[in-house]
Amino acid sequence: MSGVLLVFESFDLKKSINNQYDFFRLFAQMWGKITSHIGVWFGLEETERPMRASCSLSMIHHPQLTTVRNSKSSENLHRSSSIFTLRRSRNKEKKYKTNGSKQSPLSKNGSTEMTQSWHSSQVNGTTSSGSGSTPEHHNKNIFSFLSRQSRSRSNNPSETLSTTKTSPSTMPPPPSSSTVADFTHLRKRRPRSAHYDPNTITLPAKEEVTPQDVNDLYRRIEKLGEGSYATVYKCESKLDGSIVALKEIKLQFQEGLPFTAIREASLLRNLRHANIVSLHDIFYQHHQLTFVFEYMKMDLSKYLEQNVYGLDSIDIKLLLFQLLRGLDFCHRKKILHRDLKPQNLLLDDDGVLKLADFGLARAKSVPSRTYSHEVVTLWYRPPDVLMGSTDYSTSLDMWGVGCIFAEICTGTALFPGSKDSHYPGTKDQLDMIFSIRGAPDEKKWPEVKNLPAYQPELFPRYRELSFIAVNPMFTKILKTGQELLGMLLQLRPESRVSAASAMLHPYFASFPREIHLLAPNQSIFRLRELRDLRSL
Amino acid sequence: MRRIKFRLTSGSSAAAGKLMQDGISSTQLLQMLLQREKLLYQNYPLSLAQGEGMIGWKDRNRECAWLCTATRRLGLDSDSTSLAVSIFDRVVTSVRIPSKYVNCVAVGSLSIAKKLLEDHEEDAPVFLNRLRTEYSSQELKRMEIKILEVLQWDANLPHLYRIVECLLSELGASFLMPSIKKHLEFLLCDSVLTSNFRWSVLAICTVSLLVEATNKHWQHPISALARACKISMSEINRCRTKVSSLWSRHMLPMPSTFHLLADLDDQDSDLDSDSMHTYNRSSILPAPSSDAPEYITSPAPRALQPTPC
Repeated sequence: MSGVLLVFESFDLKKSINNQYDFFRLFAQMWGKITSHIGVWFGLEETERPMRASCSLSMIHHPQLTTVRNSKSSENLHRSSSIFTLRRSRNKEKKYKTNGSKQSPLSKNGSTEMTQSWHSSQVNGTTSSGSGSTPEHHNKNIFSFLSRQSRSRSNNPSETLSTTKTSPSTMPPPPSSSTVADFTHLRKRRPRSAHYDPNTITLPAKEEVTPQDVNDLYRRIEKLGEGSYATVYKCESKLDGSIVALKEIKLQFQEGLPFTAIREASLLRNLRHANIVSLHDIFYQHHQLTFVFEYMKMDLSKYLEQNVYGLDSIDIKLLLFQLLRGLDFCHRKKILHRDLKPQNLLLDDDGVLKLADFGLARAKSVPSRTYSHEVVTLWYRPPDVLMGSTDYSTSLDMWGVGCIFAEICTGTALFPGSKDSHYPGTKDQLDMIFSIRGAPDEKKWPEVKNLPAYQPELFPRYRELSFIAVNPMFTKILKTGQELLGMLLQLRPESRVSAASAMLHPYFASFPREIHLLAPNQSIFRLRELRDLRSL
Repeated sequence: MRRIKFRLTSGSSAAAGKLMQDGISSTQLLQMLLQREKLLYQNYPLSLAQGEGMIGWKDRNRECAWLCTATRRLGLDSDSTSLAVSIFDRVVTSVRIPSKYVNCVAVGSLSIAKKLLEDHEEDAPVFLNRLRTEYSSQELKRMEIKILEVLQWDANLPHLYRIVECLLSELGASFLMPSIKKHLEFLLCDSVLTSNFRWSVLAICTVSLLVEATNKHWQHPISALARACKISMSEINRCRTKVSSLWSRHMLPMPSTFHLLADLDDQDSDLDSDSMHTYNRSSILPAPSSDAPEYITSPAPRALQPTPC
């Protein structure tokens, strides 16, 4: 088209000479026109093209020009010029055409409206994206910015370093609240070509995917328990009919997010085991935090209430092994449960035991860190922690296992002490422990002297008793069981048996060897021999 | 015989599975941390979302310096600082954050780290008051939830301090941790390093510089650790240069034998000096809440309450 236009320009030029115009002025005019057309080829803006409107627009009204415009080659030329132009220059071109047909007011109005509507929709989109990047627009409240979609380009301070966008696989999925179409991924996939201009493509606005209401997903069946911190409901999923337990933590009256919730969520996210309760989902709605757990029929303390003289020997063995198996998995992941007690051990209909309530749990660090000694319910707290030790480790949980082992044998707690007024309020509990396990021997346990609340003069010189002497019900676990119980209830923490070693104790010799080869997510009742044994 | 000698000098006897006092092998713990790190941090270098008014690396460094100061002021352990920075970095590199809210994100990160690692339960207003921030408890709670949502409720991230502690434990030198506390803080506050190198690489570099200061045959144990961590020595060498230049730029003493043998209590008291403030002020503007160099006498943290019997 521009070649043809140049022909007409030369016609214009002759006419000008005939009219005795100044030669230099005409030369300048001609030069301006040439540069103007070169500008069109290279997609320069109107303001950047000198003398753009004068000649070209006049040529539009030339009688020969219509045939040129309708020709295929002119369209091809126009298309090839779009290689160099982005949307804005195309827009100008539309305006240019529109201005060319100025004579018809109807067409003028119509085309202006169309242009404006098309343009305004784009502008709105652009504006929204542009304003989206400014905090004034998309941050009505100060926290809403966190739900913005990331459209990052590197802002790396080191100039020599390459810039890569954070992979979606490593990033949490972007929230879908934004209506701004992001073409970054399109640009990455397709090379820019003459027939593809990503800036001109408009995608439909992303659907607002609002997070589903937990009440729409689950139907409450019954309340399982209520405390000052949370309420637990038995619920049915409306999607697949599965039964789950919803733990609702009310936050509106709490000043901060409870540390128990953060720990439980953070730790259970990485613990998938057949003997650890599964955390399916987390919701934060209506000023409350809801944890969706797998449903378990009851806890061990309720089961013990139904069996006041303890459980059958085979059930004791099965439950203890599952407890050790779940705990060993935690300890391998360097996580201390720190609140083992029958209330936190859940049972299902098949006799599967699962560890629950990781609100006091913590990831075990290297030994330099000290922890609070105010952990674990008093009855299940080991003597070293009762005497103020703060550098405990997995042995803390193993004492609790021993107490639970004894409790499921007899049906009653082995050390049911009470908190007393004497500092640090653990004298009664320690007295109960020493009366059965004997007073600490400084030769066997030299570190005891360094414990802050070690006061040997407060206690009589107790001697260690056999478990049968304490309660004849211990006969049901035989000698091997009593030996294992003694290994779990060692006063000195370093002498306590670990969960992994306890599972290899002869007490469990009757179990098939394959039990040690099961995958973490496989229940021990996958083995037929054990399925036949259980009586729960 | 030669092999045995090498093992003794290289410290790979520790890598064979030295048990810590609790029966947890530091090798196991290190491997677990490395696995988590590999899973969580796949793309390096890290980048921030760009845009007008969005957080830049300078803002990030300023807030990290503020986190270090705030942690000391609250009397928290160094691993809380390190985890808070790890959480903060993960959030700012995952979502777009206007720079005016970046301090709120830092406060939220610190609060989450404290709740995960510290056994002191503290009410939110007390915590905010001790930090000298003007956020309300509700704002803090909402920020915590937002951060946890970004982290998909997995805030137990691997962090620099823990990996360094594991590596030193492998070498049987975890007692050196307090002497490099300040060095680690400067690493945490330098985005050029943290955005380009994983925590594990930074940790090995730190340990290598520490070992180099005490033993000229430092390459053997460090290459053994690097093999165990599956990190190339070229990357470690690249990082070492930058780490040592950072320390020298801020006039930190290189961890020499004399320095390491010095009284650790003196080292601790050094940490209370305003070196981090100097760092802040020399490079960037300090956060509004960080311009209180004096130690705040605050009520003793309440002990964690046990669950009722």
